[in-house]
Amino acid sequence: MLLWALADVNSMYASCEQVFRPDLRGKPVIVASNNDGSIIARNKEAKLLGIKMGAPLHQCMDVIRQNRVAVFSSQYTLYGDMSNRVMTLLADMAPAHEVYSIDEAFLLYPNGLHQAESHGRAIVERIKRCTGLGIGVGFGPTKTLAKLANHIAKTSPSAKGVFDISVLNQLELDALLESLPISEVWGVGRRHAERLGLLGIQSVKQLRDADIDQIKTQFGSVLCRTVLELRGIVCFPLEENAPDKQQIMCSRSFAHEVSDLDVLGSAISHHVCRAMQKLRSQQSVTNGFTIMIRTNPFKPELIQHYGSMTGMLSRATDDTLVVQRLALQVLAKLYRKGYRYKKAGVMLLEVQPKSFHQHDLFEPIQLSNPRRDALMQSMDKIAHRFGREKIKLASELYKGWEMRRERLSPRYTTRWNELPKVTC
Amino acid sequence: MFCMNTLTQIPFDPNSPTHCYQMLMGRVTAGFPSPAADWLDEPLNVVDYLIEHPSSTFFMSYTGKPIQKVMVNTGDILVVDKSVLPRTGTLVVLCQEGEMKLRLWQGDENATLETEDWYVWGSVIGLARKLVK
Ligand SMILES: [Mg+2]
Repeated sequence: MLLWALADVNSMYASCEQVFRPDLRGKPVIVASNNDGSIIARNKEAKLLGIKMGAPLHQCMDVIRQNRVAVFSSQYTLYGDMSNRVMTLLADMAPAHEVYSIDEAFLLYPNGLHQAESHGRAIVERIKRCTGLGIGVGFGPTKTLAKLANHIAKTSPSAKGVFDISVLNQLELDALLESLPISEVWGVGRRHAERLGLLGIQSVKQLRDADIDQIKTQFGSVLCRTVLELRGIVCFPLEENAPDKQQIMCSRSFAHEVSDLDVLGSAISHHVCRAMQKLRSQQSVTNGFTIMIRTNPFKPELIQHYGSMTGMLSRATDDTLVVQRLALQVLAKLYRKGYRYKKAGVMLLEVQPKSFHQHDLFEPIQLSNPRRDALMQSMDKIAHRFGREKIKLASELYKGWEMRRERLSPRYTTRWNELPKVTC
Repeated sequence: MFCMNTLTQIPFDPNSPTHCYQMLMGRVTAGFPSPAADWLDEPLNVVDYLIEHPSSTFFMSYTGKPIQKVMVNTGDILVVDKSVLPRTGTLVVLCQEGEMKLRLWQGDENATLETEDWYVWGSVIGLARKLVK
């Protein structure tokens, strides 16, 4: 019998910070978004203090001071490196796997496992020993049930980080699903949960046993598949190329508000460069992009502007210069003089593998311009070898938009001059 | 020059990339290196030499008085593998009083690696040092 597992790192961002800070062992740790605006990660100890996810940092200052909570800005360089380590180790422990997010992976055992629970313990043990990070593992006959099992692995004290839902008998399973709210089901968002609630569907068991035709007509085929998955019927397969996302997003808040179009343009150029680098590293092309700029909504005394505009390309490309030129044109249309902008971002749309792309037979082929390809490759190589700072397009050179770096921890694993320090 | 016996054991398929790969990697020779294999070598890489398990290996920098016995100096880079269990005499990074410290491990293979007051972060499996900066 086929078996799925979902492995999910416990409080990933906060745990990554703790691994390199022995002084924070057993202490509450939170991570705030780059502009220190809101709390995006909390460890177990911080959760116990009642600090809420998404809460603005300044609203929690009393709790933070009284309990000496360690606060960090998100250091994605570190989290990304630790994530790669975890994913590499997980890939070794299953015949097939899918990286689902920075700290979650689905593992697939096509022939099942004799002792899923002890295998789960081996995974937990190995990840802990090799990276210092805690991980929870849930097993089930479908992805949806494995994800639910993971929730139990992490929340039930008796599970101690590993739970196999597939070994329960019918009575045990019914009782368990009865006790869980539908909001815990993968793919059931708040909206769906509210609407299902109006139909009297509140527990996972009720959702599993709901009328499938009614679900399909009222909620669509995706939720219908979720219901079937709760019944143990596989509807969501392994996505081999899951890390090749359909969208690539690069955005950041500025340390200081920006009113100058050139400075905004420099930020947008930088984001385009990074996004296009990501795009090429996954051998993909993009069909368009969205530019987003916004003022600071937390300063209601200022005049506010949120602007986003999408530009679609006549043909897919992976050329930084093409996208950058158009992005700056779009920005100029979007920009309003006299506003103080706090954030800018770029999202690449309709990302698809380069190999899938069909050339337009009747147009001059711009996609594979060998000289441009070579230029892009050497840009990526230089950026890779010397760090991203060394190669920049001319319009990136305006500063003034560097994100706030207070509370940012060192990049312990990727910079020679930021290594953890050992004394005698 | 080639050892033909070994070569003919591999069924020949000119279109098979595996076949070409095996040819180029010199796996078909027995005793005589293929001249092609020479230029396929990657340049030597000290990091590969130092690291056994990339996923569990971290670099740390040492600051403190020289430790004569193991010849570690300030500024040395410690190669620390978290997955390697320390044995008696292994140099370890020990976390104590909120700091990372370099210590010679006195316990045996079965000794506990974690107590209320301290824990072993990882085993030092190598050192890197520049003599001229
Ligand atoms: Mg997690």
